[in-house]
Amino acid sequence: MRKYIKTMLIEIKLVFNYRFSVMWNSTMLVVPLLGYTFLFKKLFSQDFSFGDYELNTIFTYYFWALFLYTIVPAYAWSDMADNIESGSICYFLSKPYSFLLHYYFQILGASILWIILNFLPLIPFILFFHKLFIFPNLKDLLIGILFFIISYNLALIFGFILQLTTFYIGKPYGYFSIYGWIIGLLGGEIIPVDILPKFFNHLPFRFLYFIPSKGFMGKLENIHILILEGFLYIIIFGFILYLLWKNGLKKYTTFGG
Amino acid sequence: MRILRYIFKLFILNLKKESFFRSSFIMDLIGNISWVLIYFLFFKIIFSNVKSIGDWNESLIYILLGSSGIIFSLFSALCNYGAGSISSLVRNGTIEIFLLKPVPAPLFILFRFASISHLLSLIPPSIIFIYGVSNYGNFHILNFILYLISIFISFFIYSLLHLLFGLLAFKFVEVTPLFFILGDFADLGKYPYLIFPKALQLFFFYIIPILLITNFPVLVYTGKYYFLILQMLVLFILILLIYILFPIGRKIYQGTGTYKG
Repeated sequence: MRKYIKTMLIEIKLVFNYRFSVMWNSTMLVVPLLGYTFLFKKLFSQDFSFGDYELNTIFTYYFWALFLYTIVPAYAWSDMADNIESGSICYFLSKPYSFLLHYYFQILGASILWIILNFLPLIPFILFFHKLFIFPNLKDLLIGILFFIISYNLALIFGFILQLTTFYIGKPYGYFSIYGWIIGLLGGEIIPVDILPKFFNHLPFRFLYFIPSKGFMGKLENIHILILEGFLYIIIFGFILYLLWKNGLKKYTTFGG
Repeated sequence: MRILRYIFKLFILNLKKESFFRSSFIMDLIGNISWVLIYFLFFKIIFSNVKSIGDWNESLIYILLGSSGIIFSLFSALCNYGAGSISSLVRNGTIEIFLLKPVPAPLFILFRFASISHLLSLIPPSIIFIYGVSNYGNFHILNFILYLISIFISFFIYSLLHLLFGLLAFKFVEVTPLFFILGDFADLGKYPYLIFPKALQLFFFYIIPILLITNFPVLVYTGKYYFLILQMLVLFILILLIYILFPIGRKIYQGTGTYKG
């Protein structure tokens, strides 16, 4: 395990070198949030209802959902597909070193810095809109963090599955946009899932952004069942990932990069 | 005319290249068009709870959504990555290749990744636009013609804005994050300008003119023709800026033109 921790620490150092670029990327979070904020401000100033949401709850919801959207690694890393296609995966396979664990810890290292660097530009934003933002109490914060951990692992498994399809269909870049819109819509980044028809409230994607956001807001019911459901999805999709990896390696042919 | 012929030839060559990777290309295309459909759904849900946003009714919002989809799809098909590639051209010292051609280098760079096949992604936003127009009623052919002119001006403003940002690469080399930021700002284009406070409206009309690009064609369609004049003015200023700044950037640039990537 120590070698993977080392990988993670190296990645933290690497990302830190690009800290200003990462902070610039926070416009991906701040700009859409600005759009949603002013849209709903205008709507709620009229005769408007939106499920159980009010202006401050919808603002807080989008705040968390968009924050999670920028830090949860739902695509994993495209290096994985590149390594499979080029044959460089052999460098991993010929050593006592797991390809998947390598990327798990590398992305984890990067994520730690993403979380910090993406949150910093949000502080002035929260201060400016502090009347709209519902600050979580300690209990909600812990529940939110617990569901964030589930979301993070589930997203990473989805991302790994996406990247491992390279074994079967070549580089999956063409599918990225569609996948992105599916998780954006069904995960709750674009519209809160409880506003969508009932059927969408039972899909695993809602664990990516919707459930953790609701957790931070203290608006979750049946938390124990949701935790179980979340872990069940991790096991199911983890097993699919395992099958894709094993079968992919069996049919894989390369000259070694 | 020679320039147009050249750009058309470039489109055909790129189309041939794309046809080698058909399945990935088709999925990419579907992915590109899906955003506009998802936001159509978003506004459908919004309008199931409200009659209008300010004085913009549902039909106008779909005209806006369709228009912004058309403009950004046009950009994505014809100019995507073109201006953004100036950074790597400057860094690698390969921009001389473009300066030596008998066509204006800024246009060559802007259109070099043009893709005719990606024009297919114009279909969904066009359908949403037609849906909006049919519900809005009150169709006037003059409004429609001026609207089309306004759309093309918006497309050129958005493309030249990218080019203007790209010129900064002559001085700072790595300016790629600026294009991501501009792309993020483009996300605001699907909203009617009136939701924003006055200061932000002015900022997004005349500094980073995302709201001008998407909202003005809709306003022209509703008969407010003077917005077309404002658009032409902004376009003229951008052309002038690029005309002045490109030679300055070229003077700042240093390279031997011998890099082999």
